[in-house]
Amino acid sequence: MKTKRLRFERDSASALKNQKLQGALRNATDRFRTVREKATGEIKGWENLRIKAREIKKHTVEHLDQYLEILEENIMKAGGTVHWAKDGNEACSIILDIARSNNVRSAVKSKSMATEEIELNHALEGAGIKVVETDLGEYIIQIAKERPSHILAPAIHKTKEDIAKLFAEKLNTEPGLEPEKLTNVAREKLREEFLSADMGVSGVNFAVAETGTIVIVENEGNARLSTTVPRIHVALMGIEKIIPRFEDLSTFLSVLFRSASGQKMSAYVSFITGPRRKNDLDGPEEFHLVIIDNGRSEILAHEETRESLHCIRCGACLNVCPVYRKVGGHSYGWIYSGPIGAIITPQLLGIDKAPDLPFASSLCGACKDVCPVKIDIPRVLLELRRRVKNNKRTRAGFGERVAVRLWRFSMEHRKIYSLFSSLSYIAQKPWLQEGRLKSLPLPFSRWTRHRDFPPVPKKPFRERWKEIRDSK
Amino acid sequence: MSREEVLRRIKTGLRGSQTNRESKEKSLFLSANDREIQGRVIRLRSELAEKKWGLINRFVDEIAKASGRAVVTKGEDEVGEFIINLIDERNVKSLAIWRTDLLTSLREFLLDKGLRFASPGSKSDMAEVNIGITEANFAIAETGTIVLISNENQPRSVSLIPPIHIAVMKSDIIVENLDQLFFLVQNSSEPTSCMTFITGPSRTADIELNLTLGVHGPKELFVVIHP
Amino acid sequence: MNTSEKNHKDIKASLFITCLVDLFFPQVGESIVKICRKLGIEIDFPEDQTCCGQPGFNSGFQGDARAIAKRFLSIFNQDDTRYIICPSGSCTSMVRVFYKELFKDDPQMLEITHNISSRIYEFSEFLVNVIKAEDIGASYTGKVTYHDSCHLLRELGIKDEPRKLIKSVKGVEFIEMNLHDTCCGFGGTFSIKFPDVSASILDEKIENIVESGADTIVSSDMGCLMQIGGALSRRGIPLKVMHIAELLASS
Repeated sequence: MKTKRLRFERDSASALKNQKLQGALRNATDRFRTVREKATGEIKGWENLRIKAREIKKHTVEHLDQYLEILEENIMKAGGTVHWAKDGNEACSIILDIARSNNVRSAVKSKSMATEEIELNHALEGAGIKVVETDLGEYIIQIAKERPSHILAPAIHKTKEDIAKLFAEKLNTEPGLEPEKLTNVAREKLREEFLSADMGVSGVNFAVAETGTIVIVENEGNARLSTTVPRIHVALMGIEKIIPRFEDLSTFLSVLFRSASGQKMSAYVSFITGPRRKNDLDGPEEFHLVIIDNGRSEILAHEETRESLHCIRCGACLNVCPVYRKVGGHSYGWIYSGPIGAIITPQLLGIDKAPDLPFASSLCGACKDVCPVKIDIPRVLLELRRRVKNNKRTRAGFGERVAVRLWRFSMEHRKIYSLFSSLSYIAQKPWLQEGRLKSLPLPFSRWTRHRDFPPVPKKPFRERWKEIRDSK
Repeated sequence: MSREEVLRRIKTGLRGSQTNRESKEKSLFLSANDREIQGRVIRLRSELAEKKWGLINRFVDEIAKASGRAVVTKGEDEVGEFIINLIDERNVKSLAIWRTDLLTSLREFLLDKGLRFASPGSKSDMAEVNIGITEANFAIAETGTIVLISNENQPRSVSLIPPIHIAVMKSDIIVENLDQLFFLVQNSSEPTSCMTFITGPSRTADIELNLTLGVHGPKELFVVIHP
Repeated sequence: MNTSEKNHKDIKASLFITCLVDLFFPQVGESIVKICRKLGIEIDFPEDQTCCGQPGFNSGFQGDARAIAKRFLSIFNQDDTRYIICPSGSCTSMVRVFYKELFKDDPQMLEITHNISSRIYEFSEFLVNVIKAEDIGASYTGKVTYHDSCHLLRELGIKDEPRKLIKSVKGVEFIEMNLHDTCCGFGGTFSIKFPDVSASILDEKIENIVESGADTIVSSDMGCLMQIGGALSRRGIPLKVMHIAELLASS
């Protein structure tokens, strides 16, 4: 797990200067936003669906232990095995054990943020097991040895020319292939992997307690292949992915697809309940669900930020966030980016590891408007900001503390406020150029770096009021 | 053991919050009684039967939007004809098929034509199959989705490994929306190891958001509707 | 629907000026007073006011924000027959939406908060929804585009009201710009905590304003207009920047 402190300003600096990335981000977020608006606009009762989804998640999280126990029972009844992991290291150990005891030499993986959270690939490769990412976007960045830049479209920062070049270099294909041919190359290469792998690893979009069913959504078919062909299927899920009843899937699938990619339904949804049955001709012989905590129970324990656990990982908040649109996923320093990343990364890694993230937002609220489970992200950000300032390791530095004291003092004493007002009129004079303030000393220089500061007029409103108060 | 530790952390985290926690004995799930449910199932099925043609048309429209192709036939003969034509067109060497009542006569028809079927139990055989033929156990009109339920006669790989998937379906299994689908599925049988929703062929937009069909799953999907 | 002749003598309002307007853009306050007088609304200005506490609240200093909020409440609680009007969507939403967060453990302050929340309005909201005035009898020749400030739009739900007011101004050609409801990048202290990100977001906003073909940009928040105006000024782009009150006071 991460031990270094994340630094948003530093990490976002290169993203802001990268014109190609800026273009890709604008393109991607515009596209996702438009289709999402259309898909949610045309469904009757969208708002009610959101409310229902939120209520179900809230209820589930408030009874989480009970539902997890029911889920476990039902999976076991169906012939599956359930494992529990306190943290990422333990989850990796468990999965390694399963692999070792089954002589697994290669594994295919479908997209799962939880597996990236625990750095599973690293652990498996360390034990000499070959791991192949099969989601096309993830496959691309695996070959490129990069990190994903968007929850849904991990290779969004790469142009098709980039990818053609990458494939030519690393896979010995012809140079300059078009997307359709590139996709075919991936299909053929990965087909071999699916058919020869000993183990398939997947994430879980929803786990239904009532029936012991895990649900995986996708468009490519790689999750179906990873969870059908290899002998062993290991599914990894965070404790919060659970929902109570089979019928609740109707609500969640309805809000997930429209929010994520503007579709009514993805190409495939798999509903898996245990391993193959006795006389089945295919399907995995063993099904293992690994349930992981890794900091989620901590989030659960804080009522004010508990709703962070409602997230169904649709990515809608990323696509409307003015900050994400400019800085992209890598700037958030970890796997989860955008508004949801800004709230769960500090909570999962510890507020002292990511004290910048809650502040990396203008609090515009666009995310709150689109979240299908109605997480009030701005409110959670404000609460996290309060925690940062109250934490010994991350609280305000000397300069900021002085500024806050001064601000509070002047706002509590009007005469001092007025005095500062008159003083700033005088103090600005050396910096006034043709009636404009183009550069100022710290901390105002951070403003004037990019824009002019408004000049302070001689008379503030309260003085003018005295003059106009008694007139008509 | 970590199981106890994780559960303990959760219970502790929830303690003291103003939540109304019911005990485990009182069911967290609403339960209607069986007879009531069966009544609802029957009513729903008859409602759907009345709307049959509307549902078929809606389904055909929606699946087309997802790049799948639905063909409405007038009888078994047309089903066989459609499939044979496709087989000739695509130069098919090997097939795989579900063993169900609905597909029995189709299977015999194709065997008579000299075609052979691979065994879904063999990965290497399946890798050579050009067309997989299944039934659709349910379909959802609103989204153009077919629903496949796996079991010993209905293996998963038939709709997954071959590049072409043909699903034959009776027109009376179409429901309007997700709510109805989950209701009927839940009240028809115990969950099998896998149920799959399929809405069109496999796709991706991972390269510059350009839509490309046929990534890992089938490149083409045909749904042949049997009246 | 010309309501400039209507007399609203029975309506009394107190002006919550906000520190930005008081210190940097006093003409906005003057415009509001002018409009109120034109409409026959009796307006006063509680002179002891300073700030609503939002900068502290948004930066994680809740204790300090609470002290300032308490002061705000006591000043504006002195006459509860008066409306409170404010030229800022974000300050209005601080009082109406977030004060109850600040005082959730203090029933006494919570009661005062409820009282004040029920009578505080952002200025364009006040004109359209309380006074029921859309045409103030203003005139201004120009192509005007409007930027939806975030708190006004999303916390207070005010979107049509400013547009109705702008469109009623004689001589105005209203143009809706692209992405008019996307943040300008100000975000209070965000603009100096992450100045490069803020400026990058601002760049796109300026692009959209210029592309719209408007010669005047109007908004209901001086924070946004400070951000936008500062960039226009830096680049020498001769667009007029106006608070909606200034536009409505034009003749």
